[in-house]
Amino acid sequence: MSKSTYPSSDESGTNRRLLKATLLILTLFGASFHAHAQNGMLRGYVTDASDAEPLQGVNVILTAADGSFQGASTDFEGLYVITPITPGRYVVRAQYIGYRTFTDTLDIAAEITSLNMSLEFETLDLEEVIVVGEREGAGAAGVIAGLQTVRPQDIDLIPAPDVSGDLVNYLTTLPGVVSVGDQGGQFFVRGGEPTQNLVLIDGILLFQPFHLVGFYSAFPSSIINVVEVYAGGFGAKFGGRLSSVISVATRNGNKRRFEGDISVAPFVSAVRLEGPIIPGRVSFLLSGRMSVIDQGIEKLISEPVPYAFSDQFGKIHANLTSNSQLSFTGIQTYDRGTIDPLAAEEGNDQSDQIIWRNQAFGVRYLLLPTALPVQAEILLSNSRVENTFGKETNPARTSKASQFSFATNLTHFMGSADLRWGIYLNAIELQSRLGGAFQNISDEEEFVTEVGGYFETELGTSSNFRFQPGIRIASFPSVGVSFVEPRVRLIYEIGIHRFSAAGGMYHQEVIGLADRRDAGDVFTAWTNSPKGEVPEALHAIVGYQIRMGSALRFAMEGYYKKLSNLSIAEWTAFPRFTTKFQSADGTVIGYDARLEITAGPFYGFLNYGYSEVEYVAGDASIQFWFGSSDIAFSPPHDRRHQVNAVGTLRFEGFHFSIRWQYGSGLPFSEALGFDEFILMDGPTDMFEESGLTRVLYGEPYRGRLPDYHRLDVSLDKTFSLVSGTKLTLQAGLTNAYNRKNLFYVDLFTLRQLNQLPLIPSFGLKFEF
Amino acid sequence: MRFLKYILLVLTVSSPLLLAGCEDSVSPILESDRRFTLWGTLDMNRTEQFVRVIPIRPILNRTSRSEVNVDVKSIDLDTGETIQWEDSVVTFSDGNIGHVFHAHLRIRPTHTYRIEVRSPDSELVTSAETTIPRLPSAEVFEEVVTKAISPIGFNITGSQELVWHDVDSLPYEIEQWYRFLEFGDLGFLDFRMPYVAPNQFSESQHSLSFRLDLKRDRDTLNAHLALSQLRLVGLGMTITILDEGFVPPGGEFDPEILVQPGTLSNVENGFGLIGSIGSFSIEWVIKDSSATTLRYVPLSGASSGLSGPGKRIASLRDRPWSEER
Repeated sequence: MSKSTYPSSDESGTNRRLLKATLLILTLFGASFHAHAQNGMLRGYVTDASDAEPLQGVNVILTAADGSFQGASTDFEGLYVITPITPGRYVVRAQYIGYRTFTDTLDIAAEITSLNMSLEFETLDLEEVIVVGEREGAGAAGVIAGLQTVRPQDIDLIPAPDVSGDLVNYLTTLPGVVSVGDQGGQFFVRGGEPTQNLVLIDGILLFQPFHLVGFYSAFPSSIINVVEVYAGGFGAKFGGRLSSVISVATRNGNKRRFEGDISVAPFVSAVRLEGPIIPGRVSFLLSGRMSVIDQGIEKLISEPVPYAFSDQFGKIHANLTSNSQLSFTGIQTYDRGTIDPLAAEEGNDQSDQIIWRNQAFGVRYLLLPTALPVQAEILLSNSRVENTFGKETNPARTSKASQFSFATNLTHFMGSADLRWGIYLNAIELQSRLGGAFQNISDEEEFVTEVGGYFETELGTSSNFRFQPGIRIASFPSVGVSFVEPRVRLIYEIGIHRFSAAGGMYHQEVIGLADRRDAGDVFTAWTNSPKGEVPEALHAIVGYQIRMGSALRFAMEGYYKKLSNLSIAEWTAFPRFTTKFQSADGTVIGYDARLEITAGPFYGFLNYGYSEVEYVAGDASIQFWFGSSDIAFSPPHDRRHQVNAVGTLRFEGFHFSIRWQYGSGLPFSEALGFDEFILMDGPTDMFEESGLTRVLYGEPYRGRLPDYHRLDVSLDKTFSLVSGTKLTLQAGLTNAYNRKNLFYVDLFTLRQLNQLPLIPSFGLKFEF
Repeated sequence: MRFLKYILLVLTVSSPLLLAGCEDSVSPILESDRRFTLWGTLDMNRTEQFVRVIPIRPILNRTSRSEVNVDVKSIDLDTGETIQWEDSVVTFSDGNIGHVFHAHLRIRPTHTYRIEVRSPDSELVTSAETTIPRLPSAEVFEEVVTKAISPIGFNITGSQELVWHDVDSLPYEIEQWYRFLEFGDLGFLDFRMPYVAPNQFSESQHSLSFRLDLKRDRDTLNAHLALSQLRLVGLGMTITILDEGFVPPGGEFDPEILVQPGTLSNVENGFGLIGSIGSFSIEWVIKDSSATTLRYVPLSGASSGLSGPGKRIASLRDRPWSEER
């Protein structure tokens, strides 16, 4: 087992070599920049004329007098950059499905030319057309080396017990993504633990963004611009987590007119409001949701659903000048619940409850310097999470984490290559009061400072082969630890085929500890990693994608993750709810296949994922317990097989969607029974020793829960009302055939807690 | 509609999985041949032996039943002697009920005993075997006590060697004692203390050697007793030996480790531990002159009758283990 990540002399040597290589690459790119300085550059933002929102995936094409052309597509900011351009006269066209093509003639000199464009909506019969801009990684089978791009319209395809979509419902259709079900708010990506996911909203860290009710996260689709989900192999810009990145870019709010919506559904009521503060320049977007479970779903199914949650989001976005933007983003979430059927049935509101709160706030400044072929981003943010468990008025355990971050990110556009680099500073405060729950984790307040930077290039941005090497350097002066993490991504396209690969090394200094022996225990303690045992991961991904005509797309990916220095709950036969943590290593190996079908008004996809997660624990006590120096086992999130089938159909103004999901059973620890343990440490009086009750566990996680499957359907129709207002009515069935999916088995009482039963849902949304 | 074929395709692909996933409950309790947990020690120093029998149950809470229908017997595998054990229902101080089976059984050194527990409704036998430690012997050598004048007064030293033979493992416990007679013949007073000085265990020679520090012992006693009111009768040592299967992993009786089922267990078709244990003692006297030098009040007449260091003055072999001990 790898035990230390403190740089040894060998590692220091390696680090020095890597730093030298980084400097060499920087020098080469500096030279490259000078070579391009004799050419021109065209850049700018493309927005929707109706609301000034950025349009992504717009093709901007520059045609020369001789008929030759070059182009680029806009990113999620609406930014396009075309370079190098030989000085001369060009016709520029911006094309996007559903919008009138923008055309203009430009004289481009050997300098930077800025052109912002607004595209006007083209009136089409949207009943029969799904407007989807082509974007790399978008669509169910659009995965590229672990990267899946999710758009709001993707989310709205998935049936949910709500008239509005939520990001988590789409994420759980992705192969390799395991959620423990309808309850718990735990989200595992390709073998990683929930706290190993880096979740960002406009670049701001959100510690625990998934609500206790599994249909909801902090991200309603109405606030989302685009989401990038890296199931692994993420680039050098991201760090501090082992498993995955979920980067949410939010919408800016309508800069032309006020609009909003109000919705009611059995789980939540929601409201969204947006509009201009200074028309055309400054906008706001507000969104709030609050659960109405006791008034809604509990009455519908006549069962206790002892959860409450809410989230609020706000953003102000300003176009300061034609080439600079400033935005303020704030979000907070709240979750409270009791994952204990006995307490819930007894209606005991003083029972132990899990509560967590997220608060995050950030400022983002985006600049395209007039004279430099650079995009600069400055981010300032503060994120905070608080977990408590126990009585609400006097919790037995609390854990708080907060992170202040400052980061600058720069992108140098150099034609056939882009160069990205950035520096950052994180100041992290961790506080725990665990009441002895985690016996070898002391209650303390810790301060961790992290400074670092990254550098990555994208070579061949305009060719069929793109190579993106990168390196990330992170240093924690307060704990004397540094990491150098190489990363690489590459894509090769030939005809209808696309090959991709990614890999890298990752470390996570700040970790979240949870006792996964008990699926009902979702309390997370954020702490600094044990000294000398910083969790580490190595990722490798290879993928293949083929587009078969306009109707079919198929993608396959294989992946491997090697995990070291994980902290997992130790096994004990004492039936208690406290634990020690022990060190473990792990491997994750799997593959997934995705088939996407688009045929007129029908859209659907079928995803299959196979995954094997194995942990190996090697504490000294393992030898005594199991007779070998270590023991291999499948952790409780090792879901081997997964199927997700989604189909949507638009007809007669209706939108029908259906989803069937299947997951093979998750591991759990079985027992032979119970007895009493007497410590035989010499002559023992059998009349005096009553003994301590113990659980006669078998080997850890050898059992499997029954398979999980569920069918959800929904039907909705939108009616146009007066003055441009709309009313959407939705009816749906979640768990349509009332499958009794097992959430967890309480070994001590033999009670089995099921996931939610058949839920008929009715929702309405009024848009104005 | 032609799109129905896609829906049918999805349903066709998914139907086998749907059928495979019909099971919606699970039993967390594994089927097992392990029926009982047994705890107990066969003690060479007792004529009545006790074993706790705990039926392995499928629920956490302890049963309130006061009966357990099992047949418990012991077999001396060296002689074939079989003894039936009797149940006694015990209510412990915490209110829980347990079953302690007992039998009149005098165990013999080096004999192997098998404890069998059988339920009348099953052919399965839960059993454990333990081999009783062999009887050790001991030799005590004459004490060496010196008294010399030093610039700060008298310098007194005292030591005595003791060797235990036929010891197969480090004793579980080593205890020393000094026996005094109170003036006026009011009775004996034993002062017991754990042996803390180093010992030397030779696994190859099955011997355990001690070098007692009589002067340090005297200082310890003086701190606790009014020695001027007591006459030294003799010295003694007891070693407690566990059978070879009674050695915890890592050499430490750590409940966090031992609680794991199967750890330090010799029970077949069950859990727990049946061990065996023997305590062996030797006592001796030191010369009156030595006692006086060490500032004890001697019991008049005590003398080894031997002269010079290195002479054996006592041996456990001189007083062989008997049925009456």
